[in-house]
Amino acid sequence: MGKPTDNIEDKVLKFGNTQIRKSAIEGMTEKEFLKTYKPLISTGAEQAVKELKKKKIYFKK
Amino acid sequence: MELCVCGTGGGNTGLPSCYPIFDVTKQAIFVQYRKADGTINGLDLSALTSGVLDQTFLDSKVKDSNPLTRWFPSPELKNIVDERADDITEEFEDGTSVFIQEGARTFEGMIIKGDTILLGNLQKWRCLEIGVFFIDKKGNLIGKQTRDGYLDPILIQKESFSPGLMKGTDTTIQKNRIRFTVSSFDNDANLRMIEASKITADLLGVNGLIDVVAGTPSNVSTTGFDVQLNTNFGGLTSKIPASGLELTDFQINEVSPTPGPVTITSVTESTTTPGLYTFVFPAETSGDVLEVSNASGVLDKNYDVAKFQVSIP
Repeated sequence: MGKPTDNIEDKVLKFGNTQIRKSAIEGMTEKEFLKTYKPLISTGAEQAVKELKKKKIYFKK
Repeated sequence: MELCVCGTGGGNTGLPSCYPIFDVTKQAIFVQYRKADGTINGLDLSALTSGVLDQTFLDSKVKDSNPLTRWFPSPELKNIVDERADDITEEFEDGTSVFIQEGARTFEGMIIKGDTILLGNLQKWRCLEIGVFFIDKKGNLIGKQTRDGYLDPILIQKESFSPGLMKGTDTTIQKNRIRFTVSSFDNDANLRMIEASKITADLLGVNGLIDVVAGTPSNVSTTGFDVQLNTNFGGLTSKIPASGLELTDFQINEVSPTPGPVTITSVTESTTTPGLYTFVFPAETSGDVLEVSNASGVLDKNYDVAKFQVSIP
């Protein structure tokens, strides 16, 4: 039996009034994220970046 | 209609010391009487957990993304009339008469603060083969049992469904009136219920879905667009917005030139304009036509979003 796999489903993360697919975040750079979501996330895109780092969700390099 | 069975005697006439009975109707749940496969769109009792109708089950019916199998509960009904007309008999010259058939059962109820949008939606049922469950004052769910293992909806006589608008007066409030006749194929003796004691869902007071329509998408790019989503309710220039929808409430499919699902990256509702949503998705090709619709399966909110298309510039 293989190792249990985490995050099988594509989670949706909430930042203020915005819901973002986790896989989409992992597929974009931090710069792309900030460019897209600065005008959208009501609680601030920079704050969202901090929360993502705490949750160990990383942007594409 | 059940017939007399000769040769077996009449039915027994005893009653247990304690047994439940129906109370006055508070809500009706309309359904398409038949499913696409031709079977009755009934409640499969084996789908209940230990015979209990729980919230998950109720949501699966009321928020079913498939309108052909969905339950459509009415708002609360008042001034209920639910009675059979006098029997039809044949009378003879000697003053005696014989029973020919039961009179028709007619139902009428009022929706307080009824609305013309709701009226229009009710009118859409007229041409359909309609079934109805009733929710009574005690919270019992009433239907009929004519096949084992199911509580089926009661069949409404074809072309008898008649909703109407009763405008307010100096002394009365505006109402919608619902009136229909129960099919002569249905027998009162077959009426059955799931008792309120076996219903843990919030059945009494259950709300139906609200239609949501999209305005013209704006700021359309290869990676997203904005769109105002409103209900049909409200004034012509002051529609009530569909607020509170989220990413998981939608799905997007490319319909042209290459049909297939498009994964939504994010959805944001404006904090200043309720019902104004920004959709973001992976870059699409110029000329693609996308279609936005309800997520499939059981809907999460009480909104039914009408499909709309977006052409990628």
